[in-house]
Amino acid sequence: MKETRLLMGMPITVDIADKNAAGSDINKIFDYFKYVDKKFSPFKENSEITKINNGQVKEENYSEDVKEIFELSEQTKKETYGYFDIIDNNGKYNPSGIVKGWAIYKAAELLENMGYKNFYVDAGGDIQVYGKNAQKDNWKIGIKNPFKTNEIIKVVYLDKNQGIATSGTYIRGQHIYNPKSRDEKMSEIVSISIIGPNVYEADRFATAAFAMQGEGVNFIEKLDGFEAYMIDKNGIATMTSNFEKYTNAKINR
Amino acid sequence: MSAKKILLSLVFIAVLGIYIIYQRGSSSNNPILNNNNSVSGLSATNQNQNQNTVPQNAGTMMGGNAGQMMPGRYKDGQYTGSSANAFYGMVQVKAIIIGGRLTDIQFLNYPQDNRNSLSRSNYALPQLKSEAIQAQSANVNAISGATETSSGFIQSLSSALSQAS
Repeated sequence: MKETRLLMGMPITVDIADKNAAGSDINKIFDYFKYVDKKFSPFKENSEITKINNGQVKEENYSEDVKEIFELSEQTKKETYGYFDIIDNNGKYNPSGIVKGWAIYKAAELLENMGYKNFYVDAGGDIQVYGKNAQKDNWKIGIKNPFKTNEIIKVVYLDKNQGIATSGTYIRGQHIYNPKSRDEKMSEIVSISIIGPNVYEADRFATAAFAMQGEGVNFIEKLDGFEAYMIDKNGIATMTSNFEKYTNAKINR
Repeated sequence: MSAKKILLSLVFIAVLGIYIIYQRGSSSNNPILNNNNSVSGLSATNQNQNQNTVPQNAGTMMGGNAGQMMPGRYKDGQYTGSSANAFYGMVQVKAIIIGGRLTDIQFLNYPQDNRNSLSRSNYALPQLKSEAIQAQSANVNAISGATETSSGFIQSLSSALSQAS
């Protein structure tokens, strides 16, 4: 049972391969994403993050979820040598870069707690898989062509409840729409996809690795349990040393 | 250059599609998003293995090349769309109409996924395997890609074009 909705400004898909999948359970997952958006969006007037940014909430009154996100953000900032930071140029909190992967992971946990074993949750191209697909094979995931978004340029197979996340920029990378950006230096790296032990881990390191640009793939190479596929502006991909194992449908990693 | 033309024309088609939906739309504040919200609409594009690009969605809705059917329907001028939430940030566009046609879309605001981006580009890559990317034709369960800001883009653009009509 598969359903897609547009929430938080992006398509979110829940696909349950288990035969006993119930639509009402999938609705609960979408409700969870709505809750996350309402709480964490810095663009919503009444979100907790906006209230914190406006100094309307004392630190001791932060909700448990916000405390958790702030702690995880601090940890990620250290682990990425400061490349990951939820405080923006104006000194305000914008935790979007960590909340998405975290929310997908939590949503997958909710499904697991409902008793499902085989499913994936996809929010805007970041995906957490569990178990196997409807054919009882490993989940088969395409990596999108950053220059031609209706095309996939790589297929990977995820088995052990892993996550995959891609960070990058399509429109800016192509310089199609923004005439003003012609003066800007074009990014060398247009997209980096990370396979990790779960989507939360994959997403936060994808964000940081993309910020590191060319150095990002080296950073991932040094991390145990992570693989990366990085694409530069000339359409040349560079991958970490064990990435290709994931392109084999059957291999037992 | 040709890629740019194709994209621009796709955007134009999308815009017309959006405009028509907008015109047909009810009193809802956000007919475009509501339309995309329909599960059937999205799953149809998902089966196409694509996904969520604006031009394709709108093209499907229009059922063809609308760009040539209705030229010159906008009033000349520059119209700034509303600022729309695309999760990573706000998207805001300006639509430029010349001779009744949408000739340019400028981004006034575009969310940065790479908030800490660096201008350094001369990193020495490690001795890792490289390859030229190549299109694959496989059925997949899901697709990983950077978050597109398409819905925010549609929202802002439709609001700009509603002023131009």
